[in-house]
Amino acid sequence: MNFKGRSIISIRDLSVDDITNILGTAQKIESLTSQSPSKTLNIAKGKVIASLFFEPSTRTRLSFETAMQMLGAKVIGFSGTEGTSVKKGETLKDTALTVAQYADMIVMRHPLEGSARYVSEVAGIPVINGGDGANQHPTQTLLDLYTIAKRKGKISGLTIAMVGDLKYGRTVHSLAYALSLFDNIRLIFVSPEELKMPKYLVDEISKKQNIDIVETRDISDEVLKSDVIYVTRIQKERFPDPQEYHRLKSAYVIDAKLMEGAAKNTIVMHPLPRVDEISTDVDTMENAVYFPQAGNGVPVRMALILLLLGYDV
Amino acid sequence: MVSEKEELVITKLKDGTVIDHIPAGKSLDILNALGLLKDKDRKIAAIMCVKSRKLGKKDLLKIEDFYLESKILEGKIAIIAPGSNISIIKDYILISKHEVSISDRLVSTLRCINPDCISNAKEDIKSRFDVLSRFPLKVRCHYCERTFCDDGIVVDV
Ligand SMILES: [Zn+2]
Repeated sequence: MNFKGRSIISIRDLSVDDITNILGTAQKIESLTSQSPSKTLNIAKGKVIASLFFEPSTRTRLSFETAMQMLGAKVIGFSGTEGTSVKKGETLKDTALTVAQYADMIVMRHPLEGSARYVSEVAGIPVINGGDGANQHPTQTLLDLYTIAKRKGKISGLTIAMVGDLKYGRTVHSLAYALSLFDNIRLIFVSPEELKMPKYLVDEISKKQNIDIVETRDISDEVLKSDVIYVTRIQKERFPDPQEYHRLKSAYVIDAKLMEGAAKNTIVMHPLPRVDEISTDVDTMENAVYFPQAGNGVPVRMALILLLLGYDV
Repeated sequence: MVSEKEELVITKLKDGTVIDHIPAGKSLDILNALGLLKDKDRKIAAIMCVKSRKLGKKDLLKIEDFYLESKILEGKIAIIAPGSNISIIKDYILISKHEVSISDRLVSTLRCINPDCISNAKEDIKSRFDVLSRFPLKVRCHYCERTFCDDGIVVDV
């Protein structure tokens, strides 16, 4: 379970012990930062972290860079490849080898799938994957799990409903996989027929022990009473027929009226950005945790950086 | 079509490799994967669609002065023609004979059909797949993590 020198590329690389360790570290960091008068921890002072965003992603980059700054590390890098050597045709390997001369760690987002895995194999320093195309975004999954654990006090034994586009959403794929590593999980997949969870994934996770999987089209009473409702956006470009899109989309909107039927302690999560799949009248309800959820990205990313650099917290 | 008896008369290999029990119609795919279709100087006997007790019909290849010992090439044959046999002959003597097998990890053997996979970019990168199941064959790309079966599994030639 030693993280020093490892890379975080895919949720599949992590065992349930690894995940528990990361979430525990994030919790310690959160309490340490809240006790610190400056709200920062200068544990990683003197370290240089490269933030390589080959494709812009404001939220992920800001969250990572906030985590780096709060640890006292120096941040170098770029957002978008305009004006960089990448634009001149440099290979990813050469970029990685060059950056590894100055940096102690690379955090990267790249449009090609498997790019972060490749860099982790050639760079010789730890790499954190901040999203490789449609493939993986493990820190999102970890912050989702952290949010659930923080709000519910546990992960095992919970009922989690996932609502919306379950076919193309990599966030829900990774989260469903990660949850299946825990005990006595009940997953309710709520989506239109056209956007069901891929069969290979349902097959894979249903092989785990002590897991219960239900697939449904409706936001039923059971969905509303579950521990977590995880909502994702249904994207227009997935539908050739705009009318079909509007009909389906409106069937999966969570609003305050619908939430009247929810349990008091049901939490509503969303990876953001949200469009209209969660109505703004839910924002002020106690059930809404999607903004704090985004905020949880900072302690989780701080924890990962410290663990990979070999610090004890 | 030639009978098994005649076929033995046609080719008596002194030195090289015999690939037997190839599912009928797959021998040219194997030669292509071995890079031998472009090799103008190589003597090859390709015998197609002969009767086989095991397969009904089979292909058979006899390749002169070529010793198939690379695990990568064997992996390619195992994907194209599962169940086939490789015999190494030296001076008319059978040196070794074994059925092709698929290892748990296939390096430089397959090509990922995902156009957005880093393994298809202009990088110095070897394809790598993990075998998830053998019957039916199911593999996962080490890079893009996508799972492939049937037509999705493409040998890198
Ligand atoms: Zn791939």
